[in-house]
Amino acid sequence: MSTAPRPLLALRGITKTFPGGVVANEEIDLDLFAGEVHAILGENGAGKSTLMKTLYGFHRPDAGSIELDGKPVEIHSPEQGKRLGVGMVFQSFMLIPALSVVENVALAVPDSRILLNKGRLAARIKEVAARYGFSVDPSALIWQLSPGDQQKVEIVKTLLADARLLIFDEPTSVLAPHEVDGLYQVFDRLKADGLGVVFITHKMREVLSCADRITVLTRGRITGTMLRAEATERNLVQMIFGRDNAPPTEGEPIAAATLPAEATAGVGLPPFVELRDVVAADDRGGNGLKHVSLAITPGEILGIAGVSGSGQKELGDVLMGLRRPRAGTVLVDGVDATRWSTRQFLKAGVASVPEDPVAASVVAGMSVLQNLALGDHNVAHRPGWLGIDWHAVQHALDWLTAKFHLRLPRMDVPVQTLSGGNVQRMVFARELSRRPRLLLAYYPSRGIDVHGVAAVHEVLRACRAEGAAVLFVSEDLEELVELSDRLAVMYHGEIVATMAAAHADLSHVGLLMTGGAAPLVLSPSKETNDVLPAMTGPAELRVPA
Amino acid sequence: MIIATPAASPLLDRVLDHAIMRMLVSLLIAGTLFAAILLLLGTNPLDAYAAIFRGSLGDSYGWSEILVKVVPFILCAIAAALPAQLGMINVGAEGQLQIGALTATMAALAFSGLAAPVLLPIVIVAGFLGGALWGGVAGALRSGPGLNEAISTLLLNYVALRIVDSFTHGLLKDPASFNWPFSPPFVDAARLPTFGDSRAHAGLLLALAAIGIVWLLLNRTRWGYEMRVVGGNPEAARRSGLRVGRYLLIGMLLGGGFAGLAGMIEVSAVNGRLQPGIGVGFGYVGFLASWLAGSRPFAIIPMATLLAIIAVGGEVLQISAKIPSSSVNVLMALILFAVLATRTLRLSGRLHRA
Repeated sequence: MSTAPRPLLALRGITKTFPGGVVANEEIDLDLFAGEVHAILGENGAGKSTLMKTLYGFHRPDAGSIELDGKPVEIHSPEQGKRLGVGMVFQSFMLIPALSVVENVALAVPDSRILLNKGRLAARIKEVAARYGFSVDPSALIWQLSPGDQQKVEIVKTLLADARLLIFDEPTSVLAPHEVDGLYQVFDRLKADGLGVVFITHKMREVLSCADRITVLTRGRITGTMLRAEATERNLVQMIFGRDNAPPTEGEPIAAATLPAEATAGVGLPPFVELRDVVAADDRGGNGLKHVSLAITPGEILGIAGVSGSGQKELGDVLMGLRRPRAGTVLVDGVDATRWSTRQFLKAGVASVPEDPVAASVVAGMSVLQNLALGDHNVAHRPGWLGIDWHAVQHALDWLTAKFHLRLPRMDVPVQTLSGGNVQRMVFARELSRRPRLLLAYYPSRGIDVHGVAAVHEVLRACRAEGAAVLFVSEDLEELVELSDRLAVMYHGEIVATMAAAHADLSHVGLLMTGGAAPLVLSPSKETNDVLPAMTGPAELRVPA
Repeated sequence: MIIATPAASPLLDRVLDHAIMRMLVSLLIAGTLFAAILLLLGTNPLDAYAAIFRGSLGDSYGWSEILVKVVPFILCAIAAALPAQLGMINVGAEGQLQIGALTATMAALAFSGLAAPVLLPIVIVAGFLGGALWGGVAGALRSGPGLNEAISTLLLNYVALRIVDSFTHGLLKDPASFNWPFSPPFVDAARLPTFGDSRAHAGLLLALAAIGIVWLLLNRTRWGYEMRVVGGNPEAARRSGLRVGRYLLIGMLLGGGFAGLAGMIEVSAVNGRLQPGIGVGFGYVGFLASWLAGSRPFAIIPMATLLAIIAVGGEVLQISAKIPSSSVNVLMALILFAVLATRTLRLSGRLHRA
C-alpha cells in the first residue's frame, strides 16, 4: 500500500485521433483528487472538450486507460459514465426548456424510472439547493430561468445522480460577472463535500481565482501541471504559447497604437442609425425592447452592457430588419427605415456577427467557399439570376485568409468541420469584406482564446478607424470599457444608462445591469456623478419607470 | 489496467460506409421481411420474387411497362425532392398530379383544333401550371400563415381527387360515354407520341429532361444555391436578406408543377382522356423514390426505376401467385422503413458523436 493519497480519477496515456488524422489528445496523463478543483486551461481546439467527452463516454479513446478509485474502467456511454459517478455540466445545457425543473432532474436521477414522485424529488432538489445556497424553484419551467439559474439546475441534476466528480465545460461563458463568484462558492462547497471538480476554461483569470491545480493543454498535449501557488499569469502564458510566441499583451494591439484611445471622429457627425422610442416584441410575445432610444455615429464603438437576455438580441434584430418594431422609429442616415426589409438594411451597410455564428450564420453541409458567398448581393452575384462568381468569392477568401490568419485546411471542406472559433472568424471575415457602415458584433470574444480576442479587438478598432459604427455587445465589462467609446447599459429591455466608457465605474455598471442600482435620481450622489457628466453624442439617459 | 482497444470498425461497418452498399443492405432487409409476410400468406416467397422479376424484366412488354411507370415516378419524385431542398416535405404530388391532369385535359379539349407542334406545348404547360397551382396553395399557406406543408399537401390530395371527380361527372363528361365518368378522348395532336409499337412514350424524355433541369437549377444557379441555403439554415438565410417565404412558395410551385406534368403525361400519353383513378398512388411512390434518392436529382432515376420494376412485377404477382397486386405496396413501405432505419446503422461501437 502506498501512502500517497489515491486519486479519485486517473487518466493514463489517453490518445484520441479523429477521422482525417486530427490528433485531439495525445498521451494525456491526468489525476484528479477528491476535494480539489483541477482546472484544464487551453486555447480553443487544444483538446479540452475532447478529453472530457472521452471521460464522460461520448468518445472512446484510441489508446490509454481510465481508473476510478484505483480500479480500471471502460466508459462506453454517457449512461455508464453517469453510473460511475461522472457528472458533466455542459457548455450548452442539456435541459428541456418546456419541462419544469423537477421533470428535468427526474430524467437524470436513477431511482425514478417508472413512477415519478414529484413531491419527493422536489424536496430533494430544495434540500440540495439549500446546501449549496441556490434558490431553485422546482416547479419553474426551464425556459423561464436565466442561464445562471439553468446552470444551477444542471449542477443539482448531476449531484442528485450521485456524481462524485463534476466536469464543468466553460461554465462561466453563460454567466454574468457577479454570478461567476457564486459559481466559485459552489466549487468550494463541492470540495468541502469531498467531490472532485474538473474546470475547463480558456480564461486565465478564472483559473487563477479558483483552481487548486492547473493543467495546461496545448494542441492535444499536456504542457504542464502545477499547483495554484506556483502559477502566475506569466508562466501560464508561456506554457500555453511557448516562450517565443507569447501573445501581444492586452491593451497594445497594433491598431491601438496608431489610433487615439478614444476616437473622437464620430463626434459632431450625424448618427448612422438612430432608434426613437422603439418597442419590439421578444420571442415569447412580450416586449423585448421597451421604449429604446439610441443613436450610433460613424466612427464610434457603442458598447452594450447587460445580462444576457436584457434585450440585446431584439436590438440587433431591429437594426437588421429581422424584427419589426411595434412602435417607434428607426432612422438610417436620417431616412425612415422602420419598415425596411433585411435586404434593405444589408444594402445600407449593416453587417452582423451574431451571438452564435454556427447556428445563425452558416449553412452546415455547404463548403467554406459556399458559405462565404452568403449574403453578398454585390460581389459574388453575376448579372441575372444565373450563377455565382465563385472566383470573386475565392478572391475575397484569399484576402481574408491572409488578413485574419484563418487556418483553413481546404476551401471545399464542409463548414461544420471547422471549430467554433474558426467559424466565427470566417463569419467576421465575410461580414467585413462587405465594408460595413454598421457592424453588429455580438459576444465576439466569447469562447475564443487570447490570440483570438486580441485579433477581434483589433478588427473592431480597425472598423472604427475606417469610419464604421460598431455596436459591440459583450458580457465582459472590462473588455467593454476598454474597447467602447460609449457604453449603454440594458436591463429588462430598456437602456437604463448611457455613459462615456472612459468614465464608467464597473461596480456601478454591474449594479445597473442587474437592476440593483436605484433608479437614476437626478441628484448629485456619487454614483450618478459617474454617469451624468460623461454622456456624449445624442444623449439618452432613461429613468426607468 | 485495461487498455482500450483502438476503435477498428469491422468489415461490415466499412461496407456500410458506401451509400450503394447501404442501399443494398436495406433492400435485403426489406426483401427478407416481405418474404416473411408472404410466408404468412401461404405463398412461397421465392416463387413470388421470381414472378415479380419475370413479369417485369422477363419480356419486352414488361420492359415497356417499366418505361411507362418510371415517368410519373421520376416526376413525382422531383415534386418531393425540390421542396426537400428547402427543408419542406411535399406529400402532395398525388393531388398535384390530379390537378395537372385536369388542366391538361381542359387545354387539350379547348384547343383541339390546333396542330400538334402548337397544341402539345400548350397541353404540357397547362399540366405544369395546374400542378404548380395546387402545390402553390400549400406553399402560400406555409410562407404566409405558416401552415405545415406536410399536412396541407396531404389533405389537398383528397380535395384534388374530388375536384377531378366533379369534372369527370359533370362539365367534362363525354356526351358519348353512356354516362361513364370520363372526358371526351384527346385528339391525336394532343397525344404524346409513343416509341414504335410499344406503350413507352415521349414522356420519358420529358422526365429525364426535368431531372437535368432540376440538377442545373440546384447546382449551377444562384436560385438553387439560395434554395439550399434556405433549406440548410433558414435563420442564416434570413440574416443574409433572403426572402425565405418567397423561396418556400417558389419551391412548392415548381415541385407541384413537375407532378402536374406527370398528370399531363398520364392523360396525354397513356390514357388519352381524363377519368377517375388516373395516376392514383404515383405521388406516394414518387415521394418514396425521392427519399430513397436522398433528394439528389440523378439518384432519383435508378430509384424510380427500381420501384417501377416492383410495381410492374406486382401486377403480374396477382395472376401468378394469387395475392393482391397491392401487396407490393407493402414491399415498398418496407423498403422505406429499411432505408430510414439503416441510415444511421452501426454494428460496432455504441455512440459516434463529434
